[in-house]
Amino acid sequence: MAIVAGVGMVPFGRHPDKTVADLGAGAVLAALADAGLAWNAIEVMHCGAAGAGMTPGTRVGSLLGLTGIPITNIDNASASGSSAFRLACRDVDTGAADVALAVGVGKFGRTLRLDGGAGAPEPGTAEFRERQVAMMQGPLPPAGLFAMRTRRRMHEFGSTLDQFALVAVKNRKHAALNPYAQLREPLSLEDVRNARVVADPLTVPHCCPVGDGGAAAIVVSERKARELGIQPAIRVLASAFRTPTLAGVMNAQDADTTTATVGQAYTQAGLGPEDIDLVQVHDAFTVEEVEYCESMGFCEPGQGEAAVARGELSIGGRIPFSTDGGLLSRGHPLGPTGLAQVHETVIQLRGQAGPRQVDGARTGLVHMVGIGGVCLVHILQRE
Amino acid sequence: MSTEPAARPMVEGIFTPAGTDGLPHLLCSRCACGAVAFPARERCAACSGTSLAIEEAPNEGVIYSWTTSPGKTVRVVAQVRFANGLMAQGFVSAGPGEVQIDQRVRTVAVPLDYAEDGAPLLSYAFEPVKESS
Repeated sequence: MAIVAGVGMVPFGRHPDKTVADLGAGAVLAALADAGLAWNAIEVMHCGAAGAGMTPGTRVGSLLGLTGIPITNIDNASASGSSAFRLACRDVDTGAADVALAVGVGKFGRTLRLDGGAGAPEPGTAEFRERQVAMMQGPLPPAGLFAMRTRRRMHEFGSTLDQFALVAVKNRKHAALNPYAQLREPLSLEDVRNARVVADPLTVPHCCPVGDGGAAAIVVSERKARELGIQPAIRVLASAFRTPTLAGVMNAQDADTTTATVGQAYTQAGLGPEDIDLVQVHDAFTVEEVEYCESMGFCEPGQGEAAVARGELSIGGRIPFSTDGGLLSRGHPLGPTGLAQVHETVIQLRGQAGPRQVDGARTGLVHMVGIGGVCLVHILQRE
Repeated sequence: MSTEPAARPMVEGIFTPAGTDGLPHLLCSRCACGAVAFPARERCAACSGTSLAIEEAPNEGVIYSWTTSPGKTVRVVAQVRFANGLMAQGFVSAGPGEVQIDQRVRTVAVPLDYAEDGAPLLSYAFEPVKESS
């Protein structure tokens, strides 16, 4: 079973002076220092990035030294870093490597282009037709779909917009305690209400910032962990990965896929929601944290809003979610986000989280979804 | 006096401005297994089968949820459910204050753009049905 030997991050935010490769190399060097390893100890590397150009991981590797190791680049949208982590764990689990590295990078500044950066398609091409069909359906930012999910949920469960705003307020409080977070200034319910509307009814603080950053994790075999004297050992008990099926309802597909993926992870780990001490969730939009805490079995359907309002998902509550500020405040440069979740979980399980420490944290769950319908869940446990 | 070129759908096969009953309809596919899809598919998402037929969705549907599309003018975009099992997304020809979940809407043809020859390029949109009672 893969053991996490080291984690590292470059704080999420704005890094105009750094390239994508710089951000990745910074995270890898921090993870190597954390593990007490040198770059030439890495046997295999997986890099998760979305919209970062060709072979970003290979560029990170060349900055650190041309050791000739295999480097694979993965684009799974928001779940790219989680996918890199899964493959690194697999390399260790299958015996292909004793020391494997997962890194995630992303640099978006203030703009996020979802068309991959390509120019406008030529008339008569398949891409032109595809774009026209999208225009006919009403082009929306990613917030648009989640705005419709929020409104539908308000209709079905009688929830109020303020109940979702409380997720943003809570996660900002957590981020204020995290030096790696992108948004740390105080955020009130009034601030959320009065902010600019992105997609009705969602205002800006209901949506995560997309910035720059890097994150990395090094996993090693049991044998290597003993050799390195890693204590406490933090094991990756489960790695589950699903894409949607048609059983999912159009407006709640990510929640349905989350239910299936988390179920698979619980089975792999031989655990249930009652065994989990903290969760890092894909809270790109406030409604997601509410929905997924139900999908994961922490609340009955329709009870997520009340759980947030009662503080159950806050640090010190029944099941703390997004202890590092989540995508909403720690930030979401796509590629590295899933590895930032692993970073936070490992820090928490070691008891090194300082003012945001979850008391007695032993088992953590990390969850990411990505556009197109990708869902990954890992469960980590301290021995 | 010049004659304006006739309006035509922006993309063929997405909707018909005048279906079998003369009204606009979305064109969806129905698989032998029953799964319905919009835009129409050549291979079923549910069973991977290739026995699909084109079907006109009912002209009227019900708003499942809605939001606004940002831009120079804010426009309403809705997910609409139809009685044949289809759920589709599109613009609503109404302001944000005039739409709500469960509201009945009809499918209409509207110009979305103009071709180089000046012909209006039609898309579909949804329009609230005025309840007569």
